[in-house]
Amino acid sequence: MHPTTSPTRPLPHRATRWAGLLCALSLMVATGCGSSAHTLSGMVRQPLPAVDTVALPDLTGGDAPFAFRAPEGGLLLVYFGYTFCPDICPTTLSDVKAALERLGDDASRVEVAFVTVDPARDTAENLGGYIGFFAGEAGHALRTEDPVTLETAAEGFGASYEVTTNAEGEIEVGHSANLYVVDDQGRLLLTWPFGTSAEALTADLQYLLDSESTTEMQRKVTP
Amino acid sequence: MTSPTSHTRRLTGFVTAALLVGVAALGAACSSDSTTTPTSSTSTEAPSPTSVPNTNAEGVTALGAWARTSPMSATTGAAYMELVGGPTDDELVGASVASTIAASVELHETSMAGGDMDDMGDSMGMMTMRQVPSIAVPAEQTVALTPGGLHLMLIELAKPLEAGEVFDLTLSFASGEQLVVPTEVRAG
Repeated sequence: MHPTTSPTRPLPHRATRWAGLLCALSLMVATGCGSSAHTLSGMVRQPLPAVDTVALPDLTGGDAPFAFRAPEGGLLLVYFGYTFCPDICPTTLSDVKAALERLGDDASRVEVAFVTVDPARDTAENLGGYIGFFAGEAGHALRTEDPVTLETAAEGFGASYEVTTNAEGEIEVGHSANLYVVDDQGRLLLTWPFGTSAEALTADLQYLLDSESTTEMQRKVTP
Repeated sequence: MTSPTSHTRRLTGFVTAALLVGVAALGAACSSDSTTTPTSSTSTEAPSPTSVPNTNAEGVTALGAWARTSPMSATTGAAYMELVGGPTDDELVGASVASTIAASVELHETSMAGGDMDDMGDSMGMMTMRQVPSIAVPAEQTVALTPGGLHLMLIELAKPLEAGEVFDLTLSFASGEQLVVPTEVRAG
C-alpha cells in the first residue's frame, strides 16, 4: 500500500479513492454525452467492492449479526458515525430522512445502517432510538465492541475513523463523513461525500431503484 | 491545538455575560480581564430580548439562527447562523442558553482531519470536530456558521429539540457586547 504521513491513523485508501474518483468523473462525462439521462452524484469504486463479508451485531434486531446487504431488490445506506456528533452526522442523516420521504413508496425498498465508531459511549439504549429518529423502521443500529471487526467493516467501505482523548480529557472523534449505498448482493455501488443534498440523494436512489434487477443497478453505475 | 486558553476564554465569555446581565444599565464594556471574580451564577439565564437587542447598530448582527431537531437519545445539538460584523472587528468568545435547553454551549468547528485529504483535496477523508476558543467576526463581513463547518454545540440537552420551538441563544463578544438571538428549531 501507499506510505502514509501519519502512521497512527488508519490507512486511507488513497489508491482506490483515486480510482473511484476517476471512474466517477469518466462516468459523468459518459452520461453527460447522452447515453443516460441521469448523472450520478455518488462516486463509484471499481470493481464494485464486496462489503458483506463482515457482519456486525444489529441492536435493532436483537443483536443478530447483520451483513451489509440490502433487502432483495432494494438498497442499503450505510453511515459510520457516533451519536454525540451534533453537526455532521445529523446533517447527513436528516438528508437521508428527507430523501426517504421524497422516495414515497419506493422508500420501503431502502434500509439504513448506522455503525457507531464510538461503542464506548454509544450504548444499546441510545443507538436504536437515534437511527430510528431518522430512518424509522428501516433503521439498523450496528455496534461491536471488537475493534478488529469494526475496523475490518470500515475498511471494506474505504471508511476511516479515530477516537482519541485530547489534552483536556475530552474525547475527540474523527470519521469519514461519507454515505454509502449497497445492493442486495453486498456490493458497494455509490459513495456520497458529505454535503450531498437530499435532492441529489433522492435522484441517485430513484435512478437505481428504477431497475429491473440488481444486475441493472450495477450496470448503471459501471456502464 | 485546543489549549487551556480555550477554556479560559470561554469562561471569560460567561463571566462577561454574567457581568453584563448584572450591570446592563451601566453599559459596561470593559470587563475582559480573565481574572475577574465571577459574581453571579446566572450566566445561563438569558436576559430578556428587550434589554439586549438582537440587532445592535453598533455591533455584530445575527441572521437566520436555527438549531437542528435532535433525536430523543441525543445529548448534543448544534445551532447555526450568519454573523454580520459591525463597523469594527469583533470576536465571538462564548455563548449560552437557559438551563432548560442545554447545560452549556461551546464554539466548535468541523473540519477535515489534518493530512488526510487526498491529492484532489476533496472530502473523502475523515472529518473531525473540535472546540475553538473564539470565532472572528471582521468588520462589515459575514461569517457563516453552517453544517460541516463552524457551529455552536449545545451540550447536555435538557430535552430533545423539537421543530417549531424557539429559544434564546446569548452570544458574548470580545468587545464586551452581548447579543440575544432567537433561534428556531427545525429539521434542517
